[in-house]
Amino acid sequence: MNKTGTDHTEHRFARLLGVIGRGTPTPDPELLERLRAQSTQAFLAAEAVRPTEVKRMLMRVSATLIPSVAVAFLIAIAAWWLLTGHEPMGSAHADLMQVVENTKAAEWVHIRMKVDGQQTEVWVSLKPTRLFTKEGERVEAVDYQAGRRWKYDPEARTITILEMVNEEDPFAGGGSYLDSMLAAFERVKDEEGVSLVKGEEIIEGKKYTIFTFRVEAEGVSGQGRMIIDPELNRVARMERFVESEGMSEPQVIEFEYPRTGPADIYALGVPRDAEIASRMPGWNVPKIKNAIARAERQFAKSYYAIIAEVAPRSDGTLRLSRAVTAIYKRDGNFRVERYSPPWRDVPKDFAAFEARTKQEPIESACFYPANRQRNATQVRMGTAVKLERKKIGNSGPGLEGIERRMWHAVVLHLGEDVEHSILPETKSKFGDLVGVEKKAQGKVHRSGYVQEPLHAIVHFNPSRNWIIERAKIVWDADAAWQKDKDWVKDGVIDPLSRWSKTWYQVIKYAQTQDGYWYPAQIQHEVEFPHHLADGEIDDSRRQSVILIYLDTEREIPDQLMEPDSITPDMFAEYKAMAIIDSREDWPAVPEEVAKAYWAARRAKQYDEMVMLWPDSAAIDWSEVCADERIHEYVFGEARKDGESQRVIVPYATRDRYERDGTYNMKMRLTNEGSSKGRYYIVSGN
Amino acid sequence: MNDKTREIVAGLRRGSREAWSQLYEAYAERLWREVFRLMGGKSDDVADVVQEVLLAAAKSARNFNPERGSLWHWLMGIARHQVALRFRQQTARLANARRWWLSLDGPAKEWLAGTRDAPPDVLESKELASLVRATLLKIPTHYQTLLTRRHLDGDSPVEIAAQTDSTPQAVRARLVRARRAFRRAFLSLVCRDSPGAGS
Repeated sequence: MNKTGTDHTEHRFARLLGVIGRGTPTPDPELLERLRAQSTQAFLAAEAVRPTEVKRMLMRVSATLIPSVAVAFLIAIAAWWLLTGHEPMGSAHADLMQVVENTKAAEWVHIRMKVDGQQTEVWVSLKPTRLFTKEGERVEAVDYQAGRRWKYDPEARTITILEMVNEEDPFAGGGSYLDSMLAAFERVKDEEGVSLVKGEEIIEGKKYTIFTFRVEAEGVSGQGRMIIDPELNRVARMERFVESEGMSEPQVIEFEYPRTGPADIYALGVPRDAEIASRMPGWNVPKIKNAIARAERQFAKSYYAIIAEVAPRSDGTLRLSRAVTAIYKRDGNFRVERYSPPWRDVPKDFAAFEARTKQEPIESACFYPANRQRNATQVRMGTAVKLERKKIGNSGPGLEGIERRMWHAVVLHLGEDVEHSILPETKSKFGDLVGVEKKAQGKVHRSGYVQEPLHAIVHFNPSRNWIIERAKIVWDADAAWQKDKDWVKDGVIDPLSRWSKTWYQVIKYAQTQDGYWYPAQIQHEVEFPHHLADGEIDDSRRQSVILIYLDTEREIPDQLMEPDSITPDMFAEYKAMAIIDSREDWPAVPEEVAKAYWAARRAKQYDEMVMLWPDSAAIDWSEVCADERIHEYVFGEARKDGESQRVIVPYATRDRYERDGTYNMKMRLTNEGSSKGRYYIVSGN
Repeated sequence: MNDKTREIVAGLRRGSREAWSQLYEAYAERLWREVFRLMGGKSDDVADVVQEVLLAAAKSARNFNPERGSLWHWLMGIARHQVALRFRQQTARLANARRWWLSLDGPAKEWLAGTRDAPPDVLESKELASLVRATLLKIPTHYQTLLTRRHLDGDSPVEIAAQTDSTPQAVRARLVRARRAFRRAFLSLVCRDSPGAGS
C-alpha cells in the first residue's frame, strides 16, 4: 500500500483473487489414484469411431429421395474415401489420394451410367453444390445454395419447384450433408476390411492406371476397379459390384470433367413452355430464417474480406468515405481490423480497387508478432496505416451497420414487439426475391438508450445465398405505426436523430472461389436531418458505394487468430518506444513530458500525443479534440506512485491553481518500456 | 504446441493408454486445484466435479482437435461447464452476494477502481469470494488461467512465458487485458440488477 492510499494494480488483483484461496492446495493422493483408474477405463472404453454411425450414413443415402444416380455418385465418392482413409495401403493409397484430390478439384463432373437399364446422366458441381440428373426425359436439379429443387415430369409436362426448408428433408443443407457423410467415411480409416491394389492395363492401345479394391466393411461388401485417366490423373471409369446391394452384374460409371455444367433444367431439354405445377410454398419468417441459417452454414469456414465505402466527389472522382475494414475468419473466430489508408483517392472502379489492395496489402503495415524479431527502430510510426480497432473473438464479426446487415443476411432479429409480414415475391434481374416487411415500436431502454420506431422492407435473394439484395430502412420518432405516441415520455430526442432513411441495393454480385455468392458492390443512400450554417435543420442525402472483396482461399496464419497476439495498444507502444528511444531530444523529466503532451494537444498534433501517451492510440483524438478548448495548465512536482516505477505529475488549470493553490488532476507516467529510461504517460485525467 | 503435447494428442487419437496417462499426469492435479478454487465448497463436491470432468474428457479425448485450443483449455472448458452447472443450482447464493455488493458503500467500490485501500472486512467476506468465482467463470478460459497463475500460484511473467512459448512482455500485456476483462465481467455481474444496468 502506498502513501496515497492507492493499491497497485498487481497487488490489488492478487488480494482480490486471493479471496478464493491463494497458494497451492493439494488433492488427496487416494482421490487422484481413484480418478486415474476410473478415467483410464473410460478412455479405453470410448470409441473414436462408431461403425454404426457410418453404416447409418450409408443406409441414409439409399433411403433418401436423392435420385438413384446421385446415390451412386455419392457411394462412389464414399468408396474413395473409404479406401483412401487406410494408411496401410502404402504407395497405392498415396497415388489414389492424388487422384481423389484432382477429381474433387474439377469444376464439374459429368457421370454416365445405366440404372435399371436406363441410361442416366449426372452433372455435379461441388463448388457450389449443384446437381443435375437426366434419366431419359426426366430431369431433376438441385441447387443446395439456392435451397431449391426442380423436378420435370415429361409425361405431365410440368415442372415442380420445391424449396428445401425442413431440416429433416434429406435435401436440406445438402452440401453440409455431403460434407458430413464424407467426414464420416474419413473417420473409418482405422477400420479393417478394405484392400487396394494398384496396377496398369492397356485399354484400346492406351496405358491406364487401375486401382482394384475390395470392401468388406460392416454392412457393405463389394469390389470394383477404378480406371484413371493418365492425362488428367482423375477417375475416368469405375466398375463396381456391390454384393450387399444384391447386384447381379457390375455397374459401369463413366466420368468426364467439363469446364461448365448445365445452366438450368432447360439446358437439358426441358421445354420452356412446360407448366409450373407448383411454385414454392408460401414463405413465413421461420422458414426464411431456416433458409438463411442454412445458407450461412454453407459459407466458407475461412475467409479474408475487405470492405470499403466510397463516395463521389463533386468532380466525379471517388473518395473513401470511411475506414476500410478487413475481416479474417477461421475456425469460427473473427479478427476485424479497421484502417484509414493513406490512399484517400481510391481508384475509380472496383477492379482497380481490388488490384490496389492486392498490390498494397493493407495488413502489411500491421505489427504482427513475427515482427518482434525485427529491430524495433525499423518500425515507423504513423506513416502508412492507422490501426483503429481490432477484435478477435467467436461472437461474430462485430460488424456494424451495412456490413452486418449485408454480410451474412443476419437481419431478422425477431422480438415480440416486432411485426413481420411477408411481401409478395418480387422479380429482380438475378431471380425471384423474397420480401419481408418489419415494423418495430420505439422505446426508451432502462439505460436511457432511445430506439426510434423502425420500418424496414428487406428483399432477400434465395438464388444468391439469401443475401439482402434490396433494403429500405426508416427510423422515425414520429412514426404513424408507433402505437404509444407518448413513448419518449420525459426523454429528449436530438432533432438530428428524429428520423433517417437508408436504402441499399446490390448492383453487382461476385462469387468466391468455392462458388458462394456475395455482394461485390452495393449502392447505399442515406437521408437524414442536417444542420445548416444558420442553425436551421434541412434534409441531407448522401450516396456511396460499398465495395466488398472476398477471398476464401487465402491462408490465414495462426498468429493472426491468436487472441494473445499484439493489440492496438501494444502495437502503438512498440512503435512509440522505438521512436522515444531513437529521438535526439526527449523531455528530461516527467513534468516536462506532461507539459509537452498538453502542448501537442493544444496544437492538435495527434501523432505526437500518441507518442507521449502510447496507450492512447486506440482513442480517436481527432474526434475528441475537434472542438476542444485547451486551458493553460500548471504542473506540480512529480512524485513516486507507490513502489512501482511510475510517477504522478499533479496539475491544474492556471485559474484554479491561482484561486485554490491546489492541483486537482494528475497524470501517471512511467519509464518501464524505454531502454533509455525516458518517461511517457500511462494515464491521465 | 510443444513436442510433448503433440505426442500426447497423437496418442489420444490412437486411443493409447500411455497418452491418457501422460495427460493425467500433466493436468489432473492442476485441474483439481482450479476446480477447488472455483467451487470453494466442500472437498466432496470438488471431487465429484473433477470426476465428472475427467470422465467427460476421457470419453471425448480421441476426438480432441488441437486446432480448437490447447489440452489445458479443453479440460478447463469442460471443468468450467461443470462448475457453472453446479453454480446454477446455487443461484440464491450468488443473488445474495450481488445484493451484498450493492449494499456496500463507496470505499469498497473505490478500492476496486483502485482509488483507495482495501477494506479488510470486504476482503474476508464470503460474498466477495462468490462474486470472484462467478466472475472467473465469465471471462475467457485463457484469461482465467493467466490470472490464477499470476495472482494465486504466484508465477512470474517470466515463468509463465517460459511455459507458454511466449515472452514476458507478451504475458504482461495479456495480464493487463485479463484484468480489464475481469473488471468488466465483475461489474457487469454485480450491476446486473442495479438501476440503469444493461446499457
